[in-house]
Amino acid sequence: MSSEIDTTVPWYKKLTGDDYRRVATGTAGGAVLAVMTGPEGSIAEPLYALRASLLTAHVIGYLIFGIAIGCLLTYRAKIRDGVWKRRRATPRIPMAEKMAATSGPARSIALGGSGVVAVVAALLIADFSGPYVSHKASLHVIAHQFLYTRTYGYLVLALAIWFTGANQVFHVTNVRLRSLPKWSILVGALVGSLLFGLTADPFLRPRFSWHAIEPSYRDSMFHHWPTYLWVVLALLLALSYLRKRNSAAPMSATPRRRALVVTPSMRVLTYLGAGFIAYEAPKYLSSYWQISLYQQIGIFCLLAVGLNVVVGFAGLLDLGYVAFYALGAYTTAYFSGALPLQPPFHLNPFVVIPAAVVVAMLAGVLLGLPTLRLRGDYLAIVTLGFGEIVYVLANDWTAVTGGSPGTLSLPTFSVNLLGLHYSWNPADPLSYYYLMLGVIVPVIVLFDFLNNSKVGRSWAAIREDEVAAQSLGINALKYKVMAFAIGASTAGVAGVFTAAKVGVLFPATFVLQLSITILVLVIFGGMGSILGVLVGAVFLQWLPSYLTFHSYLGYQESDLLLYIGALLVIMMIFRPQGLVPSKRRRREFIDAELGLGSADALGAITQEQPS
Amino acid sequence: MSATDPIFDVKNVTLRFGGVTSLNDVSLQQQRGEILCVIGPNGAGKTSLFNCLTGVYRPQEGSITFSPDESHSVSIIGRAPHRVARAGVSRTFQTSRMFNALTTFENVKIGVEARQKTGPIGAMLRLPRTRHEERDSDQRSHELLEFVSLTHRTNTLADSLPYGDRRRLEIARALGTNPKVLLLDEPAAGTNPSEKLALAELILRINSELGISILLIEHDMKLVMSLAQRLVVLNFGGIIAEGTPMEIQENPKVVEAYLGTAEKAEN
Amino acid sequence: MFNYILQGTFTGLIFSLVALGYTLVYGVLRLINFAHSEVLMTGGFAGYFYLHYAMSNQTVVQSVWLSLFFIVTGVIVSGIAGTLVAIAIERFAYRPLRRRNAPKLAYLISAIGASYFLLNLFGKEFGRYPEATTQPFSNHVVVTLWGGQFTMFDFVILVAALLLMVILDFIVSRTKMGRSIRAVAMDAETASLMGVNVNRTIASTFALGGFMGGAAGFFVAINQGISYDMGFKPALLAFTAAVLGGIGNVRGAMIGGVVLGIVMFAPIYWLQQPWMEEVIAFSVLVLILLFRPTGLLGERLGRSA
Repeated sequence: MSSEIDTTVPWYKKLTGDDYRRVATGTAGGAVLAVMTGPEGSIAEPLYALRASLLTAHVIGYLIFGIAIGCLLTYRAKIRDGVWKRRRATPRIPMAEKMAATSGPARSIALGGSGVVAVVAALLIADFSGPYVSHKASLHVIAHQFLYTRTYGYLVLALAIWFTGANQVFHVTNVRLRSLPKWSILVGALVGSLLFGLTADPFLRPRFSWHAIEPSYRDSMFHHWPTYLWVVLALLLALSYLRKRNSAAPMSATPRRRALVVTPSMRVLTYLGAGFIAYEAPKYLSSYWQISLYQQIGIFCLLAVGLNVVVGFAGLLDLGYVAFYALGAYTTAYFSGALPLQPPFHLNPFVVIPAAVVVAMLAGVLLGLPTLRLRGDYLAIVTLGFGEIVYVLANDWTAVTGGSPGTLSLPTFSVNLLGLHYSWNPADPLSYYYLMLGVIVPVIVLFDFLNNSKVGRSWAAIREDEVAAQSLGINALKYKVMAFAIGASTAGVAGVFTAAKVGVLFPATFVLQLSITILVLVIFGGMGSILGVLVGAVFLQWLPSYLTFHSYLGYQESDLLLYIGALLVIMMIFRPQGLVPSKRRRREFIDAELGLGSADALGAITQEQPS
Repeated sequence: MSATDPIFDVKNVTLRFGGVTSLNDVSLQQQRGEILCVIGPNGAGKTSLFNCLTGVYRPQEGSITFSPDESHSVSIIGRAPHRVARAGVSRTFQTSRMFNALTTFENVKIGVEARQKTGPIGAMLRLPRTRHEERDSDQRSHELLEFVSLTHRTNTLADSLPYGDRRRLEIARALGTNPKVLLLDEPAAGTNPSEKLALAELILRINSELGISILLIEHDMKLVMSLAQRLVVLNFGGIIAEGTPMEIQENPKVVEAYLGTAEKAEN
Repeated sequence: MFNYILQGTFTGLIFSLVALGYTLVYGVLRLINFAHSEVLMTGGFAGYFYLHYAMSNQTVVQSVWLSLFFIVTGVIVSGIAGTLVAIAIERFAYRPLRRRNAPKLAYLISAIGASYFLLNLFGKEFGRYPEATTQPFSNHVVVTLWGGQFTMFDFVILVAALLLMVILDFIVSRTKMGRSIRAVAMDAETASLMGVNVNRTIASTFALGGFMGGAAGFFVAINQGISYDMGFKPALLAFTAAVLGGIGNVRGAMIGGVVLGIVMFAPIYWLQQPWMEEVIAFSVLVLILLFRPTGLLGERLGRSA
């Protein structure tokens, strides 16, 4: 443990077997990546995929990537062990300060270069977020893409950001944002937002391109919701900025610590913005994305938020989550009379929701009680088995479930109450989307309340130290079963929504793979954090749809689970708390690393029985 | 102490793990309002006794009766730990077991809340009763933090508290459950002399102001002698002596088993 | 009646072999190794390719000795493949987490991830369709006992599984490696203080379980052919067997597999509903957990093996 680093021996002579192993591992990882992304093989030609992918160019890239990762890991380990000298011994100087200190030609290059980078970035974003065009090579097409309004918008935005940034760093003009009078900031915000609303509405169809000469009522700027949204956003932003300036934040803090300060107005603004985007954006999407927004993203957000209660809040592992989803779907089918087994009376899907909640919850309690009494990790395998059983029953118990051909012609949602008649049309995905929004938002709010209540705190206590929690009178079994049942009933609700929208049920939907997929949504975003789980669900459900849609990226749908498996392992090794972690959960993982408490609830509950 | 009103009545408790007998025919009584101290060398079975009293272990033989008040009594044996805690037995642990990822305030609040009635539905919908209970528990937690003088640490994460504060926090958390008897497992282990003094004072205040009986395991003889009204000495899973501090100090058996070994260790 | 019991015994022996992998890892790490199904699958694939190339498409094996040779070498090849995969799983999905002192939940999730990764990598590499394996022996009916027909395969399984289990039992209870495994199972911390290399012991535990799982994969491959998801069902049943026998208990796993085989077999034949075997196994699992959570033989690796 000497702090002195021996500098007489050259660095490469200090490499040990461990380091070579690291680089080799990285290289092997690169090869695996190459195979993962390579062509499909077959049993008749074993190792075809390997050979074929080794011959293509992209494998070289992956190998280099793998080797680089291996080298980086080696570097990190060497620094950690104090064998190598850290390359950068002096503390890091913020980029802005470094740039401000430059002078002469370097300065102009930095200034101009950053401007070019901003423009290119804006163009790329505009192109990326634009409609898909297949013949990118044609100048005509490129020009067409650039004439979309959103391109101008992103350009204006990028230039504004670039100018503000450059001005703050290089003092291009005498005007600093901080020194501007109040009115100019307000006016600037207003003008900027109008300009933005006019050109850059990312959801609007091209207005200035040759495709959209006729301005319809809806496209008119002042009759368009997003315009008002932008104005409100800009004003709120300007106000919160002014308030922050008036309160004269202490500048003594180091640049790193001057992080975003969340003021109440900003929080309101965020909710408003999110609400608006959730309400408005889908209207401008193509029907592929509208359908996917409901079936791929909406349902899975609901499922993930439900599983989050089990995995994130209670710290349990449920691998048969889809079984409850299936229960919800089949309950809907049963009460519509579509199954071979006839119900005593028929019910509208809306009325089935509580029934599905009860059925799924009962199943959850019946399964959870005996299992959770013992040991949390048995729950994983018992639910795995349960999921398999439900699938087998759906697939093979023909007399009740209709078997593998599936169930057709399920009813859709409709309201027929007190003179009010409305029936959701399966051909109109948006109406379902709003219905889903009407379920998912309350669910999120309720679960958030739950997590910040006595119940949520009790879960946290059980996760960390079950013995201590019990010594305070917390009934660990009750809370575990409660979490399990709440998760199950959420899945049941999602099942009703799927059945009523899609109109058909196939047992093959409800396989274990789906449970794992949902688990990944929760893990990726950050277990325990509702926002994280939503981010994870939206992103990971959107990405495969996007990649499938844009087939040029060489993504094969059948490989999804391959990537998901790899993602699970990598997340657990490098970032178990997820991308947008909950504060509590992150803390728990750190504590666990230090040997304080656990971060799950997989221990035994029973009274210890000495033998 | 002539009138017997035992809060704990332990009779002939025997606890075995495999072939090892951890407690052998232990009987003891703790009077209501009393500070009773259990001492004994390492491995004498003190913590095992605590674990039996709190329902964590289930002894093979004997009975343990707990009387929350004069007219009631319940049997501890066979009761799950959380039900024992609800009956009015609260404890701290030898190695402090905080909920490290939570703040000091939340730690105490969990103890307070455990007895409240709010269920999941109430918590989800923030029903009036939930909000009412929430206010109550907030207030009570603040009071408790003040009682153990940790107000200045209200929003500190438990894992970043200094050791002495963790001990006090654990006591506050245990008090949150409104116990009739508080079991303290080596509360002074690892604290410095001034913290020890403050701790002794805190324990006396819990006993006198809140009227809570205290069962204490402690190694620090000075602390034990200044606090305890009565002592029980355990060795090899059995009780070898019982009495006031003065009596114990003069008991030759104790000197041999306990202080004797301490003297040897010093030499 | 008796033929069902015998039939079940033969089926159950495969579960026993797989269950050993679960039980060994559980004994040492107190974790369910969800990736164990992929050990079986890899063993199956290794066996398939070995027989495919070694026998170069002979349809009938001429001599008994040649059959025996193919079976023995096939078991070894599959076992080694299983060992390698099990070690890789330990190295990449478990060890990095152990270094971080991760919660149990993280291990379970990482193992599931590894399982899915391997499963789908094989699916991608070798196609997603089942394939029949070249038979190293002609699988005819040898005897008819109590009205049940017992084939060559049954006897091969019986002999091979018993042999493997005897060897494993010997390794665990007699050798130095077995001693360190038992020591780590009892108390890893103390064992490491006593000079046991915990990491290596855990790896060797995975390796032992992996060999058994790979060998089981070989027999599954011969009997049912191979496919990328061939591991899932036997592994689920084998876990049930491990719990039935008392998870963490080596002899318990052996017995648990056979008992589960018998329990499962009879109702399937009586009800004539082959799909019910999972339902039965699952019900068995829940019933054990309800009434005898420590399994038939109790839960300790250190003590009873």
